[in-house]
Amino acid sequence: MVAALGEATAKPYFVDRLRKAMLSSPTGRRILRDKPRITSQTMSLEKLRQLPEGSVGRIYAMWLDREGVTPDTRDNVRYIDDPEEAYVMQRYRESHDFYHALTGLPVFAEGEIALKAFEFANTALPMTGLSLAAVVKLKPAARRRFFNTYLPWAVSNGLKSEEVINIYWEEVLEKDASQLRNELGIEQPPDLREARKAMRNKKNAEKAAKETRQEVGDALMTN
Amino acid sequence: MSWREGAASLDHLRDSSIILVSIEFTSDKYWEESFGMALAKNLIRPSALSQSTLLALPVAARLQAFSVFNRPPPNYPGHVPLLAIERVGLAVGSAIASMVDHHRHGEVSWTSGISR
Repeated sequence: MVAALGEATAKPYFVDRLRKAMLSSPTGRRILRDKPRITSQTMSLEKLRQLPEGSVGRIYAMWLDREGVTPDTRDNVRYIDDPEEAYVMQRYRESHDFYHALTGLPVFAEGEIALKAFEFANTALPMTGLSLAAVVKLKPAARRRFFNTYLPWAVSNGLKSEEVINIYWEEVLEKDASQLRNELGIEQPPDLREARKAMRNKKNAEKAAKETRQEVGDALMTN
Repeated sequence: MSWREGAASLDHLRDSSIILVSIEFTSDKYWEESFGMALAKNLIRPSALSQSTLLALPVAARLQAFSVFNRPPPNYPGHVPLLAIERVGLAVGSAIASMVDHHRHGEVSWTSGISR
C-alpha cells in the first residue's frame, strides 16, 4: 500500500525531478540506458555472501538475512504513465533495501521512518514525506529517539549527500561500504537495534533492582 | 392479432432498423472526421461528447477523456492508465491503508509476531 501511495502522489513534478537528477549525472544516465532490475535472479545472494567483509554486496546480503526479507517482494510500478518515469520509480523501490544496508537501519517501523526521512530529504518523493506521519504510531521512547537522533541525522545527511538514486548498485557491490559512504557524504547513524537492546536491558535492570528493594523492604517489615 | 396491429409492428421494425443504420453511419462519420486520431487510439467514445465540448476542456482533461470501461492501451507491460479522480482516490485510500498497516509485502507474517 505504501508502494501504491508512492505512485499515486509522484506525478506532477516529483518523479520528473528525480528523472532529471538522473539525467544530469553520467552514472544516472547509464542506469536509465541499461535499466537494470534488482531481483534474486539478477543478484545471486550466494555470490554476495562470499564477497569480502565490509563490501557493499556482503553487507546487503547480511542485512537481508538479518531482517529476513528478499529482494523479490517488490511490486512492479503500474500507475505512472510515462515508461521512463515508471522505471525511475521502480529503481527507487528496488534500491530502497540498499539504502537500508548502507545506513544499517532495520525494517521495523522505527527504522523505516528514519530511512524515509532520509529519502525525503534526498529524493523529495512525497510518499517518503507522507510516511513520516506514522511517527504518531511509535511508542513514546521511540518517538523521542526519532526526534533527538534520527530526524536530525536524516535531514542533514539527506540534504548534503549525493543523490542516492544515481548509485549503480550492480557495479559497487565489491566496493568497501564505508568508502562508498564517504564518497556520497553519508554518516552511518547509531545502530537502532543496539540502542533498543541497551534500553531494554536498562529497563530490565531497573525493574529487577526495584523488585529486590521491594523484597528486602517486605522482609524487614515482617521481621 | 389483427392486420392493423401486424402492420404497425412491421412499421415499427422498419423504423428502428433505419434508425440503427443512421446511428452507425453518423458514428462512423464522427470516427473518421471529427475526432480523428484521438478516437483511433480509443481515447474518446463518440456517443457522449460533442466536438465543441471536448475542445473546451483543458489539455490535461482532453487527454484523459476515456472512461473506466474503455481504457487506452498500456504504455508499458503492466501499466494501468488512471483518471485524475482515480489517482486521487488511490492516493487517499492507500494513505489510509498504509497508516493502518504499514508492513511491506512478504514480511507481515513473521514481523507481526516479533516486533509488534
